[in-house]
Amino acid sequence: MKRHMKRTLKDFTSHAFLHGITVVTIALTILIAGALLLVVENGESVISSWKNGVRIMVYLKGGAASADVEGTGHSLETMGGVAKVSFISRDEALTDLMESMEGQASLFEGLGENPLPDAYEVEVTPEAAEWERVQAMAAAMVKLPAVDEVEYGRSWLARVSRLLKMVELAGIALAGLFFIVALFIVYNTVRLALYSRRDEIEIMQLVGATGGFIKIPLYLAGVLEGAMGSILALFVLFGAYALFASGTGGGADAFELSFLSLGSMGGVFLYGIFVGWFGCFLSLREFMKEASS
Amino acid sequence: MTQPDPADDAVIRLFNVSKRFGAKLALSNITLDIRKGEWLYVTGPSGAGKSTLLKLFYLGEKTTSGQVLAFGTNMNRLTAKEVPFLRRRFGIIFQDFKLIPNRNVFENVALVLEARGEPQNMIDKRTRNILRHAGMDKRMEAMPTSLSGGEQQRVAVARAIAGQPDVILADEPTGSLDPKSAEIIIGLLAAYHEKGATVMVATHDRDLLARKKGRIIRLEEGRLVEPEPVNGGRL
Repeated sequence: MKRHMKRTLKDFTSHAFLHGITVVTIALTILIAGALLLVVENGESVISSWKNGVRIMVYLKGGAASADVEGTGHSLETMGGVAKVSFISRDEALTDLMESMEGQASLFEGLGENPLPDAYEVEVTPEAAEWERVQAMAAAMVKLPAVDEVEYGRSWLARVSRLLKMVELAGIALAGLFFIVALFIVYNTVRLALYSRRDEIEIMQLVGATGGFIKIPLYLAGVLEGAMGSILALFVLFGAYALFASGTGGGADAFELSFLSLGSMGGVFLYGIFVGWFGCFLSLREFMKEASS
Repeated sequence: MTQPDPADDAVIRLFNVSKRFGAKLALSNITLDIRKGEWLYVTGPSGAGKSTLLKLFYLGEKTTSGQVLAFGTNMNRLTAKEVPFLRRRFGIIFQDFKLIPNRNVFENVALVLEARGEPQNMIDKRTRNILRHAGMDKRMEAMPTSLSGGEQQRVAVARAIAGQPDVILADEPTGSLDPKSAEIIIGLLAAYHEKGATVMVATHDRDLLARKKGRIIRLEEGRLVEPEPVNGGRL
Protein backbone atom coordinates (compact mmCIF):
# COMPACT_ATOMS: atom_id res chain seq x y z
CA MET A 1 0.00 0.00 0.00
CA LYS A 2 2.94 2.32 0.77
CA ARG A 3 4.15 1.90 -2.80
CA HIS A 4 0.67 2.64 -4.20
CA MET A 5 0.43 5.74 -2.00
CA LYS A 6 3.84 6.89 -3.21
CA ARG A 7 2.75 6.40 -6.83
CA THR A 8 -0.49 8.29 -6.15
CA LEU A 9 1.34 11.26 -4.65
CA LYS A 10 3.82 11.28 -7.51
CA ASP A 11 0.94 11.17 -9.94
CA PHE A 12 -0.68 14.09 -8.12
CA THR A 13 2.39 16.23 -8.72
CA SER A 14 2.87 15.17 -12.33
CA HIS A 15 -0.82 15.67 -13.25
CA ALA A 16 -1.39 18.60 -10.90
CA PHE A 17 -3.69 20.50 -13.26
CA LEU A 18 -6.12 17.65 -13.88
CA HIS A 19 -6.24 16.69 -10.21
CA GLY A 20 -6.63 20.35 -9.29
CA ILE A 21 -9.70 20.68 -11.53
CA THR A 22 -11.26 17.59 -9.96
CA VAL A 23 -10.59 18.85 -6.42
CA VAL A 24 -12.14 22.26 -7.21
CA THR A 25 -15.15 20.60 -8.87
CA ILE A 26 -15.77 18.38 -5.87
CA ALA A 27 -15.27 21.37 -3.56
CA LEU A 28 -17.85 23.45 -5.46
CA THR A 29 -20.55 20.81 -5.31
CA ILE A 30 -19.84 20.09 -1.65
CA LEU A 31 -19.89 23.82 -0.94
CA ILE A 32 -23.45 24.12 -2.22
CA ALA A 33 -24.64 21.06 -0.30
CA GLY A 34 -22.70 22.23 2.79
CA ALA A 35 -24.30 25.69 2.63
CA LEU A 36 -27.75 24.10 2.61
CA LEU A 37 -26.78 21.91 5.55
CA LEU A 38 -25.58 25.00 7.41
CA VAL A 39 -28.94 26.75 6.85
CA VAL A 40 -30.91 23.71 7.97
CA GLU A 41 -28.71 23.13 11.05
CA ASN A 42 -29.01 26.75 12.17
CA GLY A 43 -32.74 26.80 11.48
CA GLU A 44 -33.18 23.64 13.52
CA SER A 45 -31.16 25.04 16.38
CA VAL A 46 -33.28 28.23 16.41
CA ILE A 47 -36.52 26.22 16.32
CA SER A 48 -35.22 23.94 19.03
CA SER A 49 -34.43 26.89 21.31
CA TRP A 50 -37.91 28.24 20.67
CA LYS A 51 -39.47 24.89 21.36
CA ASN A 52 -37.77 24.81 24.75
CA GLY A 53 -39.88 27.79 25.73
CA VAL A 54 -43.31 26.35 24.88
CA ARG A 55 -45.69 26.74 27.85
CA ILE A 56 -49.42 26.25 28.39
CA MET A 57 -51.22 28.39 30.98
CA VAL A 58 -54.08 26.48 32.64
CA TYR A 59 -56.45 28.89 34.44
CA LEU A 60 -58.62 27.38 37.16
CA LYS A 61 -62.24 28.14 37.90
CA GLY A 62 -62.80 30.73 40.64
CA GLY A 63 -63.64 29.18 43.97
CA ALA A 64 -62.38 25.70 43.03
CA ALA A 65 -61.90 23.51 46.10
CA SER A 66 -58.28 23.03 47.12
CA ALA A 67 -58.67 19.26 46.58
CA ASP A 68 -59.75 19.96 42.98
CA VAL A 69 -56.80 22.32 42.50
CA GLU A 70 -54.39 19.68 43.77
CA GLY A 71 -56.12 16.99 41.69
CA THR A 72 -55.78 19.13 38.56
CA GLY A 73 -52.07 19.63 39.32
CA HIS A 74 -51.61 15.88 39.64
CA SER A 75 -53.51 15.21 36.40
CA LEU A 76 -51.37 17.75 34.56
CA GLU A 77 -48.14 16.24 35.90
CA THR A 78 -49.09 12.76 34.71
CA MET A 79 -50.06 13.97 31.25
CA GLY A 80 -47.75 12.94 28.37
CA GLY A 81 -45.47 15.66 26.96
CA VAL A 82 -45.42 17.64 30.21
CA ALA A 83 -41.95 18.56 31.48
CA LYS A 84 -42.86 20.65 34.53
CA VAL A 85 -45.98 21.93 36.26
CA SER A 86 -45.84 25.05 38.49
CA PHE A 87 -48.74 26.36 40.51
CA ILE A 88 -49.21 30.13 40.41
CA SER A 89 -51.70 31.36 42.97
CA ARG A 90 -53.93 34.30 42.07
CA ASP A 91 -52.06 36.45 44.66
CA GLU A 92 -48.67 35.54 43.16
CA ALA A 93 -50.02 36.29 39.71
CA LEU A 94 -51.19 39.71 40.82
CA THR A 95 -47.87 40.48 42.50
CA ASP A 96 -46.01 39.42 39.34
CA LEU A 97 -48.32 41.52 37.22
CA MET A 98 -47.87 44.56 39.42
CA GLU A 99 -44.12 44.10 39.40
CA SER A 100 -44.05 43.79 35.65
CA MET A 101 -46.14 46.95 35.29
CA GLU A 102 -44.17 49.02 37.76
CA GLY A 103 -44.73 52.71 37.15
CA GLN A 104 -48.33 52.10 36.20
CA ALA A 105 -49.48 51.35 39.73
CA SER A 106 -52.43 53.66 39.25
CA LEU A 107 -54.03 50.99 37.07
CA PHE A 108 -54.33 48.71 40.07
CA GLU A 109 -55.75 51.38 42.39
CA GLY A 110 -59.35 50.80 43.19
CA LEU A 111 -59.14 47.29 41.82
CA GLY A 112 -60.75 45.96 44.94
CA GLU A 113 -60.83 42.17 44.73
CA ASN A 114 -58.02 40.33 42.85
CA PRO A 115 -59.56 39.47 39.44
CA LEU A 116 -56.91 36.93 38.50
CA PRO A 117 -57.55 33.19 38.81
CA ASP A 118 -55.29 30.52 40.25
CA ALA A 119 -53.32 28.91 37.44
CA TYR A 120 -50.88 26.20 36.51
CA GLU A 121 -47.97 26.93 34.21
CA VAL A 122 -47.27 23.79 32.21
CA GLU A 123 -43.87 23.48 30.53
CA VAL A 124 -43.99 21.25 27.47
CA THR A 125 -41.12 18.86 26.69
CA PRO A 126 -39.18 19.81 23.48
CA GLU A 127 -40.29 16.52 21.89
CA ALA A 128 -43.95 17.39 22.41
CA ALA A 129 -43.53 21.02 21.33
CA GLU A 130 -45.21 20.46 17.97
CA TRP A 131 -48.22 22.58 17.19
CA GLU A 132 -50.62 19.68 16.73
CA ARG A 133 -49.45 17.98 19.93
CA VAL A 134 -49.73 21.17 22.01
CA GLN A 135 -53.22 21.68 20.60
CA ALA A 136 -54.22 18.14 21.64
CA MET A 137 -52.71 18.60 25.12
CA ALA A 138 -54.61 21.87 25.60
CA ALA A 139 -57.85 20.21 24.52
CA ALA A 140 -57.31 17.47 27.12
CA MET A 141 -56.45 20.00 29.84
CA VAL A 142 -59.54 22.13 29.28
CA LYS A 143 -61.70 19.07 29.95
CA LEU A 144 -60.39 18.74 33.54
CA PRO A 145 -63.23 19.68 35.95
CA ALA A 146 -61.47 22.55 37.76
CA VAL A 147 -60.09 24.12 34.60
CA ASP A 148 -61.73 27.23 33.29
CA GLU A 149 -59.52 28.20 30.39
CA VAL A 150 -56.29 27.16 28.68
CA GLU A 151 -53.99 29.52 26.87
CA TYR A 152 -51.16 28.66 24.56
CA GLY A 153 -49.63 30.80 21.92
CA ARG A 154 -46.92 30.55 19.33
CA SER A 155 -49.02 29.25 16.52
CA TRP A 156 -46.29 30.83 14.37
CA LEU A 157 -44.01 28.09 15.69
CA ALA A 158 -46.00 25.66 13.62
CA ARG A 159 -45.52 27.76 10.51
CA VAL A 160 -41.76 28.15 11.10
CA SER A 161 -41.47 24.42 11.83
CA ARG A 162 -43.27 23.63 8.60
CA LEU A 163 -41.10 26.08 6.70
CA LEU A 164 -37.95 24.51 8.10
CA LYS A 165 -39.21 21.05 7.24
CA MET A 166 -39.72 22.26 3.68
CA VAL A 167 -36.19 23.72 3.64
CA GLU A 168 -34.92 20.43 5.01
CA LEU A 169 -36.75 18.45 2.34
CA ALA A 170 -35.57 20.86 -0.35
CA GLY A 171 -32.08 20.48 1.11
CA ILE A 172 -32.25 16.70 0.85
CA ALA A 173 -33.59 16.94 -2.72
CA LEU A 174 -30.93 19.49 -3.67
CA ALA A 175 -28.19 17.47 -1.95
CA GLY A 176 -29.34 14.45 -3.97
CA LEU A 177 -29.34 16.52 -7.13
CA PHE A 178 -25.91 17.96 -6.39
CA PHE A 179 -24.65 14.49 -5.56
CA ILE A 180 -25.64 13.37 -9.05
CA VAL A 181 -24.16 16.55 -10.57
CA ALA A 182 -20.94 16.10 -8.55
CA LEU A 183 -20.75 12.47 -9.53
CA PHE A 184 -21.28 13.31 -13.18
CA ILE A 185 -18.58 16.00 -13.11
CA VAL A 186 -16.12 13.83 -11.18
CA TYR A 187 -16.88 10.91 -13.47
CA ASN A 188 -16.12 13.04 -16.53
CA THR A 189 -13.06 14.68 -15.01
CA VAL A 190 -11.61 11.30 -14.01
CA ARG A 191 -12.50 9.96 -17.45
CA LEU A 192 -10.68 12.88 -19.03
CA ALA A 193 -7.70 12.19 -16.78
CA LEU A 194 -7.80 8.52 -17.70
CA TYR A 195 -7.96 9.27 -21.41
CA SER A 196 -5.00 11.61 -21.11
CA ARG A 197 -3.12 8.69 -19.56
CA ARG A 198 -4.45 5.88 -21.70
CA ASP A 199 -1.01 5.28 -23.26
CA GLU A 200 0.52 4.97 -19.83
CA ILE A 201 -2.22 2.57 -18.72
CA GLU A 202 -1.85 0.58 -21.93
CA ILE A 203 1.91 0.28 -21.34
CA MET A 204 1.29 -0.86 -17.77
CA GLN A 205 -1.08 -3.52 -19.07
CA LEU A 206 1.49 -4.64 -21.64
CA VAL A 207 4.24 -5.09 -19.06
CA GLY A 208 1.95 -7.37 -17.06
CA ALA A 209 0.54 -4.99 -14.45
CA THR A 210 -2.56 -6.43 -12.82
CA GLY A 211 -5.85 -4.55 -12.64
CA GLY A 212 -5.18 -3.85 -8.97
CA PHE A 213 -1.75 -2.36 -9.66
CA ILE A 214 -3.29 0.02 -12.20
CA LYS A 215 -6.51 0.79 -10.36
CA ILE A 216 -5.43 1.16 -6.72
CA PRO A 217 -3.45 4.42 -7.22
CA LEU A 218 -6.35 5.79 -9.30
CA TYR A 219 -8.82 4.94 -6.54
CA LEU A 220 -6.47 6.45 -3.97
CA ALA A 221 -6.31 9.57 -6.14
CA GLY A 222 -10.14 9.68 -6.25
CA VAL A 223 -10.36 9.35 -2.47
CA LEU A 224 -7.62 11.97 -2.01
CA GLU A 225 -9.38 14.34 -4.42
CA GLY A 226 -12.65 13.84 -2.53
CA ALA A 227 -10.96 14.47 0.83
CA MET A 228 -9.14 17.55 -0.46
CA GLY A 229 -12.32 18.82 -2.14
CA SER A 230 -14.35 18.49 1.05
CA ILE A 231 -11.64 20.15 3.18
CA LEU A 232 -11.44 23.01 0.68
CA ALA A 233 -15.24 23.34 0.68
CA LEU A 234 -15.37 23.36 4.49
CA PHE A 235 -12.71 26.10 4.62
CA VAL A 236 -14.54 28.25 2.07
CA LEU A 237 -17.86 27.62 3.81
CA PHE A 238 -16.35 28.58 7.16
CA GLY A 239 -14.91 31.75 5.62
CA ALA A 240 -18.30 32.68 4.15
CA TYR A 241 -20.02 31.84 7.45
CA ALA A 242 -17.55 33.93 9.49
CA LEU A 243 -18.05 36.85 7.10
CA PHE A 244 -21.85 36.54 7.30
CA ALA A 245 -21.88 36.07 11.08
CA SER A 246 -19.70 39.13 11.62
CA GLY A 247 -21.96 41.06 9.24
CA THR A 248 -25.06 40.21 11.26
CA GLY A 249 -23.23 41.35 14.43
CA GLY A 250 -24.35 38.34 16.44
CA GLY A 251 -27.97 39.53 16.47
CA ALA A 252 -30.53 38.46 19.03
CA ASP A 253 -29.73 35.35 21.03
CA ALA A 254 -32.45 33.37 19.29
CA PHE A 255 -30.76 33.97 15.93
CA GLU A 256 -27.20 33.37 17.01
CA LEU A 257 -25.49 31.44 14.21
CA SER A 258 -23.20 28.51 14.65
CA PHE A 259 -21.02 26.62 12.15
CA LEU A 260 -21.63 23.00 11.20
CA SER A 261 -21.42 20.49 14.04
CA LEU A 262 -18.43 18.15 14.21
CA GLY A 263 -20.68 15.28 13.09
CA SER A 264 -21.89 17.23 10.07
CA MET A 265 -18.34 18.21 9.13
CA GLY A 266 -17.38 14.53 9.37
CA GLY A 267 -20.38 13.73 7.18
CA VAL A 268 -19.35 16.33 4.60
CA PHE A 269 -15.81 14.94 4.62
CA LEU A 270 -17.02 11.37 4.08
CA TYR A 271 -19.46 12.57 1.41
CA GLY A 272 -16.53 14.14 -0.49
CA ILE A 273 -14.51 10.95 -0.20
CA PHE A 274 -17.45 8.89 -1.41
CA VAL A 275 -18.07 11.21 -4.39
CA GLY A 276 -14.36 10.97 -5.33
CA TRP A 277 -14.27 7.21 -4.98
CA PHE A 278 -17.59 6.52 -6.69
CA GLY A 279 -16.85 8.89 -9.60
CA CYS A 280 -13.53 7.09 -10.02
CA PHE A 281 -15.21 3.69 -9.78
CA LEU A 282 -17.71 4.51 -12.53
CA SER A 283 -15.19 5.97 -14.97
CA LEU A 284 -12.61 3.26 -14.30
CA ARG A 285 -15.17 0.52 -14.85
CA GLU A 286 -16.04 1.97 -18.24
CA PHE A 287 -12.46 2.84 -19.15
CA MET A 288 -11.08 -0.60 -18.33
CA LYS A 289 -13.92 -2.22 -20.25
CA GLU A 290 -13.01 -0.13 -23.30
CA ALA A 291 -9.28 -0.70 -22.75
CA SER A 292 -9.64 -4.46 -22.64
CA SER A 293 -12.04 -4.67 -25.59
CA MET B 1 15.85 -44.04 -32.32
CA THR B 2 12.79 -41.85 -32.52
CA GLN B 3 13.09 -38.25 -33.61
CA PRO B 4 11.80 -35.69 -31.05
CA ASP B 5 8.51 -34.07 -31.96
CA PRO B 6 9.34 -30.54 -33.13
CA ALA B 7 6.40 -29.33 -31.00
CA ASP B 8 8.11 -30.53 -27.81
CA ASP B 9 10.21 -27.38 -27.53
CA ALA B 10 7.61 -25.01 -28.97
CA VAL B 11 6.87 -22.03 -26.74
CA ILE B 12 4.12 -20.72 -29.01
CA ARG B 13 1.94 -22.74 -31.40
CA LEU B 14 -0.62 -21.39 -33.82
CA PHE B 15 -3.29 -23.60 -35.36
CA ASN B 16 -5.25 -22.28 -38.34
CA VAL B 17 -5.32 -18.79 -36.89
CA SER B 18 -7.28 -16.08 -38.67
CA LYS B 19 -7.90 -12.52 -37.65
CA ARG B 20 -10.48 -10.31 -39.26
CA PHE B 21 -11.00 -6.55 -38.77
CA GLY B 22 -14.46 -5.97 -40.17
CA ALA B 23 -14.31 -6.94 -43.84
CA LYS B 24 -10.49 -7.04 -43.91
CA LEU B 25 -8.79 -10.36 -43.32
CA ALA B 26 -5.56 -9.41 -41.52
CA LEU B 27 -4.34 -12.97 -40.94
CA SER B 28 -5.51 -16.03 -42.79
CA ASN B 29 -5.20 -19.60 -41.61
CA ILE B 30 -1.75 -19.35 -40.01
CA THR B 31 -0.23 -22.50 -38.57
CA LEU B 32 3.16 -22.01 -36.96
CA ASP B 33 5.44 -23.26 -34.18
CA ILE B 34 7.91 -20.97 -32.47
CA ARG B 35 10.57 -22.93 -30.68
CA LYS B 36 12.29 -22.19 -27.40
CA GLY B 37 15.49 -20.18 -27.85
CA GLU B 38 15.06 -19.45 -31.54
CA TRP B 39 15.53 -16.13 -33.29
CA LEU B 40 12.67 -15.61 -35.69
CA TYR B 41 12.04 -12.87 -38.20
CA VAL B 42 8.53 -12.11 -39.43
CA THR B 43 8.89 -10.24 -42.71
CA GLY B 44 6.58 -8.91 -45.32
CA PRO B 45 5.39 -5.60 -46.72
CA SER B 46 3.50 -3.02 -44.66
CA GLY B 47 -0.03 -4.20 -43.90
CA ALA B 48 0.91 -7.86 -44.38
CA GLY B 49 -0.19 -8.69 -40.80
CA LYS B 50 3.19 -8.77 -39.01
CA SER B 51 2.13 -6.54 -36.10
CA THR B 52 -1.23 -8.29 -35.82
CA LEU B 53 0.54 -11.64 -35.56
CA LEU B 54 2.71 -10.37 -32.71
CA LYS B 55 -0.29 -8.86 -30.95
CA LEU B 56 -2.00 -12.25 -30.85
CA PHE B 57 0.78 -13.59 -28.64
CA TYR B 58 0.39 -11.05 -25.86
CA LEU B 59 -3.37 -10.75 -26.34
CA GLY B 60 -3.17 -7.27 -27.78
CA GLU B 61 -5.66 -8.77 -30.22
CA LYS B 62 -7.78 -11.90 -30.07
CA THR B 63 -8.08 -14.44 -32.85
CA THR B 64 -11.23 -14.51 -34.94
CA SER B 65 -10.77 -18.23 -35.41
CA GLY B 66 -8.13 -20.85 -34.69
CA GLN B 67 -6.04 -21.34 -31.57
CA VAL B 68 -2.88 -19.88 -30.09
CA LEU B 69 -1.06 -21.89 -27.44
CA ALA B 70 1.54 -19.97 -25.44
CA PHE B 71 3.62 -22.00 -22.99
CA GLY B 72 1.02 -24.74 -23.27
CA THR B 73 -1.88 -22.45 -22.40
CA ASN B 74 -4.74 -21.90 -24.80
CA MET B 75 -4.97 -18.13 -25.09
CA ASN B 76 -8.68 -18.25 -25.91
CA ARG B 77 -9.37 -19.74 -22.50
CA LEU B 78 -7.42 -17.24 -20.41
CA THR B 79 -9.47 -15.20 -17.95
CA ALA B 80 -8.93 -11.43 -17.67
CA LYS B 81 -7.12 -11.99 -14.37
CA GLU B 82 -4.69 -14.46 -15.95
CA VAL B 83 -3.71 -12.17 -18.85
CA PRO B 84 -1.21 -9.99 -16.89
CA PHE B 85 0.63 -13.09 -15.70
CA LEU B 86 0.94 -14.41 -19.25
CA ARG B 87 2.17 -11.02 -20.46
CA ARG B 88 4.98 -11.14 -17.91
CA ARG B 89 6.49 -13.99 -19.94
CA PHE B 90 6.79 -11.62 -22.91
CA GLY B 91 8.99 -8.58 -23.34
CA ILE B 92 7.49 -6.27 -25.94
CA ILE B 93 9.34 -3.67 -28.01
CA PHE B 94 7.62 -1.22 -30.35
CA GLN B 95 8.84 0.92 -33.21
CA ASP B 96 7.57 4.04 -31.39
CA PHE B 97 9.22 2.92 -28.09
CA LYS B 98 6.07 3.50 -25.98
CA LEU B 99 7.89 4.92 -22.99
CA ILE B 100 5.81 6.69 -20.34
CA PRO B 101 6.58 10.37 -20.94
CA ASN B 102 6.18 11.57 -17.36
CA ARG B 103 8.48 8.91 -15.92
CA ASN B 104 12.24 9.08 -16.16
CA VAL B 105 14.42 6.35 -17.69
CA PHE B 106 14.89 4.52 -14.40
CA GLU B 107 11.18 4.61 -13.58
CA ASN B 108 10.18 3.38 -17.03
CA VAL B 109 12.32 0.28 -16.63
CA ALA B 110 11.54 -0.22 -12.93
CA LEU B 111 7.79 -0.20 -13.71
CA VAL B 112 7.99 -3.79 -14.99
CA LEU B 113 9.35 -5.00 -11.68
CA GLU B 114 7.07 -2.78 -9.61
CA ALA B 115 4.07 -4.25 -11.41
CA ARG B 116 5.21 -7.69 -10.25
CA GLY B 117 5.44 -6.55 -6.66
CA GLU B 118 9.20 -7.14 -6.43
CA PRO B 119 10.96 -5.72 -3.34
CA GLN B 120 12.33 -2.20 -3.77
CA ASN B 121 16.01 -3.09 -3.24
CA MET B 122 15.77 -5.78 -5.92
CA ILE B 123 14.05 -3.34 -8.29
CA ASP B 124 16.79 -0.74 -7.76
CA LYS B 125 19.59 -3.24 -8.23
CA ARG B 126 18.25 -4.98 -11.30
CA THR B 127 17.13 -1.76 -13.01
CA ARG B 128 20.59 -0.20 -12.56
CA ASN B 129 22.24 -3.37 -13.87
CA ILE B 130 20.07 -3.52 -16.96
CA LEU B 131 20.49 0.17 -17.71
CA ARG B 132 24.26 -0.18 -17.33
CA HIS B 133 24.16 -3.12 -19.74
CA ALA B 134 22.09 -1.01 -22.17
CA GLY B 135 24.57 1.85 -21.85
CA MET B 136 21.92 4.12 -20.32
CA ASP B 137 23.20 4.26 -16.73
CA LYS B 138 24.37 7.85 -17.17
CA ARG B 139 20.90 8.93 -18.21
CA MET B 140 18.77 7.25 -15.59
CA GLU B 141 17.22 10.52 -14.41
CA ALA B 142 16.51 11.77 -17.94
CA MET B 143 12.96 12.07 -19.20
CA PRO B 144 12.15 10.13 -22.42
CA THR B 145 11.51 13.29 -24.45
CA SER B 146 15.08 14.45 -23.85
CA LEU B 147 16.53 11.24 -25.38
CA SER B 148 17.37 10.47 -28.99
CA GLY B 149 15.40 7.75 -30.82
CA GLY B 150 18.25 5.28 -30.37
CA GLU B 151 18.45 6.01 -26.64
CA GLN B 152 14.70 5.67 -26.23
CA GLN B 153 14.78 2.29 -27.95
CA ARG B 154 17.64 1.19 -25.70
CA VAL B 155 15.45 2.05 -22.70
CA ALA B 156 12.56 0.16 -24.32
CA VAL B 157 14.80 -2.92 -24.77
CA ALA B 158 15.96 -2.57 -21.14
CA ARG B 159 12.32 -2.47 -20.06
CA ALA B 160 11.49 -5.50 -22.20
CA ILE B 161 14.23 -7.64 -20.66
CA ALA B 162 13.91 -6.29 -17.09
CA GLY B 163 11.34 -8.91 -16.17
CA GLN B 164 13.52 -11.69 -17.66
CA PRO B 165 10.80 -12.85 -20.05
CA ASP B 166 10.90 -16.12 -22.00
CA VAL B 167 10.03 -14.42 -25.28
CA ILE B 168 10.90 -11.02 -26.72
CA LEU B 169 8.46 -9.66 -29.28
CA ALA B 170 9.97 -6.76 -31.20
CA ASP B 171 7.76 -4.93 -33.68
CA GLU B 172 9.95 -3.01 -36.13
CA PRO B 173 12.49 -2.29 -33.35
CA THR B 174 14.91 -0.50 -35.67
CA GLY B 175 12.33 0.99 -38.01
CA SER B 176 12.93 4.58 -36.94
CA LEU B 177 16.61 4.32 -36.03
CA ASP B 178 19.88 5.14 -37.78
CA PRO B 179 22.13 2.15 -38.68
CA LYS B 180 24.43 2.64 -35.67
CA SER B 181 21.53 2.71 -33.21
CA ALA B 182 19.96 -0.27 -34.97
CA GLU B 183 23.24 -2.16 -34.51
CA ILE B 184 23.21 -1.42 -30.77
CA ILE B 185 19.59 -2.55 -30.40
CA ILE B 186 20.19 -5.81 -32.25
CA GLY B 187 23.31 -6.32 -30.13
CA LEU B 188 21.30 -5.95 -26.93
CA LEU B 189 18.63 -8.34 -28.16
CA ALA B 190 21.28 -10.82 -29.33
CA ALA B 191 22.91 -10.76 -25.89
CA TYR B 192 19.60 -11.58 -24.26
CA HIS B 193 18.92 -14.26 -26.89
CA GLU B 194 22.20 -15.94 -26.01
CA LYS B 195 20.89 -16.45 -22.49
CA GLY B 196 18.27 -18.78 -23.94
CA ALA B 197 15.38 -16.46 -24.69
CA THR B 198 13.20 -16.70 -27.79
CA VAL B 199 13.27 -13.53 -29.90
CA MET B 200 10.71 -12.71 -32.54
CA VAL B 201 11.32 -9.64 -34.67
CA ALA B 202 8.74 -8.25 -37.09
CA THR B 203 10.45 -6.19 -39.76
CA HIS B 204 10.38 -5.27 -43.41
CA ASP B 205 13.96 -4.01 -43.22
CA ARG B 206 16.08 -6.45 -45.27
CA ASP B 207 19.31 -4.97 -43.85
CA LEU B 208 18.25 -6.09 -40.43
CA LEU B 209 17.99 -9.70 -41.61
CA ALA B 210 21.65 -9.59 -42.52
CA ARG B 211 22.72 -8.45 -39.07
CA LYS B 212 21.71 -11.56 -37.18
CA LYS B 213 21.04 -15.13 -38.23
CA GLY B 214 17.56 -16.47 -37.68
CA ARG B 215 14.59 -18.26 -39.11
CA ILE B 216 12.55 -16.14 -41.45
CA ILE B 217 8.87 -16.37 -42.14
CA ARG B 218 7.12 -14.14 -44.64
CA LEU B 219 3.59 -12.81 -44.54
CA GLU B 220 1.76 -11.45 -47.55
CA GLU B 221 -1.77 -10.13 -47.24
CA GLY B 222 -2.19 -12.04 -44.03
CA ARG B 223 -1.03 -15.36 -45.46
CA LEU B 224 2.08 -17.23 -44.49
CA VAL B 225 4.04 -17.74 -47.69
CA GLU B 226 7.01 -20.03 -48.09
CA PRO B 227 9.85 -19.09 -45.74
CA GLU B 228 12.83 -17.44 -47.40
CA PRO B 229 16.21 -19.11 -46.92
CA VAL B 230 18.14 -15.89 -46.23
CA ASN B 231 21.45 -15.63 -44.32
CA GLY B 232 21.56 -19.30 -43.35
CA GLY B 233 18.71 -19.19 -40.91
CA ARG B 234 17.27 -22.60 -40.18
CA LEU B 235 13.96 -23.47 -41.76
